[in-house]
Amino acid sequence: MRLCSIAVVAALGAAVAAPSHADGGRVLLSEPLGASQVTVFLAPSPVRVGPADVTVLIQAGEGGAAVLDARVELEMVPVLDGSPPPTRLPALRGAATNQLLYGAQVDLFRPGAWRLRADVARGDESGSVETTFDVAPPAAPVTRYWPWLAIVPAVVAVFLLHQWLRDRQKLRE
Amino acid sequence: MISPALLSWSFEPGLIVSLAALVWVYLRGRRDLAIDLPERYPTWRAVAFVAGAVTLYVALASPLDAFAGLLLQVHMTQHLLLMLVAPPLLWLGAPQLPLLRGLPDVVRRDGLSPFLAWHGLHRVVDVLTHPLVGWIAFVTTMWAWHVPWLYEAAIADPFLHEIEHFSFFFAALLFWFPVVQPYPSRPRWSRWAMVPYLVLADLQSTLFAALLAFSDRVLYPLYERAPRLGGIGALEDQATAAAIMWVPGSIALLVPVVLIVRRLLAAELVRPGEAPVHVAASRVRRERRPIDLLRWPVVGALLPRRGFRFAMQSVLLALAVLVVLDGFLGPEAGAMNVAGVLPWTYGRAFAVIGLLVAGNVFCFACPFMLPRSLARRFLPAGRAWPRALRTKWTAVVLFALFLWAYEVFAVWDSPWWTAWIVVGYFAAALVVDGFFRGASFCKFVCPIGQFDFVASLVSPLEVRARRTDVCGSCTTSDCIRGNERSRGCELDLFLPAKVGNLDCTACLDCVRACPHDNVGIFARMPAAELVADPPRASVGRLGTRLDVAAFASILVFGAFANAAGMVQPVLAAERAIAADLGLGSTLVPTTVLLVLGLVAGPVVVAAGSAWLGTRFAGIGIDGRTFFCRLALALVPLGVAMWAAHLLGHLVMGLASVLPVGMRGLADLGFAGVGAPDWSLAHVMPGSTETLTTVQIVLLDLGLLVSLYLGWRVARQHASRAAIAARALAPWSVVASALFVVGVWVLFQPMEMRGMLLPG
Repeated sequence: MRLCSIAVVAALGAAVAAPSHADGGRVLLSEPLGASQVTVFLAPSPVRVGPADVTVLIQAGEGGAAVLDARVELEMVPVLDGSPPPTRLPALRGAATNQLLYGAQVDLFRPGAWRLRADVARGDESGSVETTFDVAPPAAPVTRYWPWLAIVPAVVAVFLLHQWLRDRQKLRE
Repeated sequence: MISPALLSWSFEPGLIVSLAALVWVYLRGRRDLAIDLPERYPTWRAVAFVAGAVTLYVALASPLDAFAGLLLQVHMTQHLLLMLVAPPLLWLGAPQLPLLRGLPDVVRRDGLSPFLAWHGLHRVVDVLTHPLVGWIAFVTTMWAWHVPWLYEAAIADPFLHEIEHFSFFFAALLFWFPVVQPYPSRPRWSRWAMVPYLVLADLQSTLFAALLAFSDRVLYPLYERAPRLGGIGALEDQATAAAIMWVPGSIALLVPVVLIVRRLLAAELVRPGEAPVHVAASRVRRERRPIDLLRWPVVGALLPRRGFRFAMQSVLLALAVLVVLDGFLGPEAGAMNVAGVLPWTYGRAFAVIGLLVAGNVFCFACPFMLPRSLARRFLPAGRAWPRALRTKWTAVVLFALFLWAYEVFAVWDSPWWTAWIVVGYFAAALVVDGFFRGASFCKFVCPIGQFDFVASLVSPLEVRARRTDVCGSCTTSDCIRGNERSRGCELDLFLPAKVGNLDCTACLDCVRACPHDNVGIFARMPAAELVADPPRASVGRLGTRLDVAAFASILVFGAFANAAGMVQPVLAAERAIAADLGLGSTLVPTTVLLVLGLVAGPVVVAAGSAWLGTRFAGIGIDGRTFFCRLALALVPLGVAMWAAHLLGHLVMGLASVLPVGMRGLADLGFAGVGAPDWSLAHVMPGSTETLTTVQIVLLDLGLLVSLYLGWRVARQHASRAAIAARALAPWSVVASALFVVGVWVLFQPMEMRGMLLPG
């Protein structure tokens, strides 16, 4: 019956291994803006061409309490000659899992250096923080989806083993 | 008001589905076992198991996960739940037997039994469940993942983070197994040995906590860079994390020591005559009856009602009229027209999803039935359908022609063509069924119907007789002849001999006609009907039906050809070939590629592989029959490709009906609706990662079911597994190649048909 125990372990382990998506990611910049502290996160890490999550945390004063009533807009543009006009989009609290963060999903469509500006407004106060970061070329899709592609050979291997064991069992009987 | 931090839950469908499935199987098995062994499986065990599953979910999807990268104390709490709370709770549920018992009989008996009897695996498991191995795994995992560089790497890389969580949990399950020693396992060591086992584990855990608590520097620089929430400094956060590990961690490890000692001492004090009396099982085991939709409270009453089907047909008829009107009168751009959006973005996708989750829902609600029924009041409908045409060949040709026309005339982007197709459909249905008896159009002509019939082989529901003995004693055969309550089956499917879904429109006439209330809609294993090849009512044996095999092949290869026809590399190749040949359009190269895909593919590749298999493996079946069986075995893969492809269109164009509807209303003079927001007809923004994952999983399932069916077919005609493997090898290569093509197509940039381009 220990074998069943391992089956339980495997089944539960598979449940735990289900992918989880927490936002946040790498701290791209953290700097004061007036009386507030603004931290910008970027995920995934390393960031590649394709969709990416930008999240912003705004903290007030020395206590570091999260500010939840600000308006945050992101402006993203590749740092290139003749690059397209910058993309502007709002970062919203509902868009991030962590409800203290303002989040937005951006499409980083080109590799190389990108400039990110976060415009933060709260009441009458407003300001911006800005940084640049590098976007790596896209990974081959196979490297992103290999666990899903590996399902077939894995199941086939288990099935072949199953058939071999069953035939062996029949021969013995 | 709840703090926003406490609302930071992530939605993890994979985790929810996995845990829900586990709990469902456990509860199902425990329910049975509690009847035989009530003293072994009291209710509190089920409560413990469910609590363990809930703890797992809390650890992985609650705000603990959202804040783990910002505060070490939160991350520590998450790890403690994974290592010290969830595993013992799950083992307290004694889940081994309930999980085994809760599985479907066929999985337990045929799927798991060879593994459960395998001595090699027993030896591995003996090692893994040894207390020493569990202890070492627990301690090593904990220390290794807390090495700063590995810890930070796991936080930065989601995949590594998942491996970290998995290894914590896996090691903890091994660690807690000898401690809880869930029934029916037997202890390897004396139960007294669990005292030092747990105390030593606590000591090393305390040592690690002390390292964290008394360190004068932040061990994980990540938390120095992270913003300090609530003004908690990184060093202070580290000390709190240490305290959490120290105090609650120690409690989790030492309370079991007390319980074990108490129980051991109590057992030594119990005299033989005082052993607890086990209560005999008094409840009667409930018989598991197959799921019958018509026995369900609301659904069962609603589905067989003629009025319900009429309502569904009326809805689709109204939509078809809209398609025709807007197709002829509206703008000649698919993305802006009802005739572009409704059938091609929504209709196809919902029909295929309906086939996968239920059954032949399109035929049930077929809009062509109402005008046909009306016409039959005026037209004779008395002739028999010509004997020479009583096959699927007409539908094979029509379906292939449709796939060709779809590509060549860009039907998805031509509301005018779409409208004509719908009108043509109505006309054909009227003419065929206006002059010929029965449902000749459905059975022999309609390509949509044949698509649904063949695809419904993989549906999870089936209309069939409830009890064969009732059919055996029936003298009236109303299910086929009809009576005053309802006509009989127009497709000649005699219920006692009906096998599976082929040719069944799910009209439920048989349900209404049966005077014995002996017809149900049963849940079944999808595609299982293809394993064997018994004679089927009005169909015969599938192994002899080359026409059905041909349609199945067109459905399968057409799925890949249709999807490939919209990816940039294929379109570029067609344009390049046209340019090289000096042609003004891509008509010729597209036609050639489609002929290769739809004709050469099935004929040369699929039939050739089946012939090769029979030729060189010495299998006891002729090449033609083997091809017919294997052509149908490929259907799950083909349906999976259609589903993956059409799901992509549906998800990315989900909102496109809104501007189209607003435009239509504005055209009709409803000025108040405002100007349509055409940005909604663009490709939906956002990550396609989840969509691509779902599409790949669909293809995975399709290929696996196809390979399994192929194997079962080959095995029926081969004396040994090796012969079956040789016979199936060429065909398996074809199936795998189709899978690779499908994945390649999914990875390509697509021409988003029926959608507007931004800007």
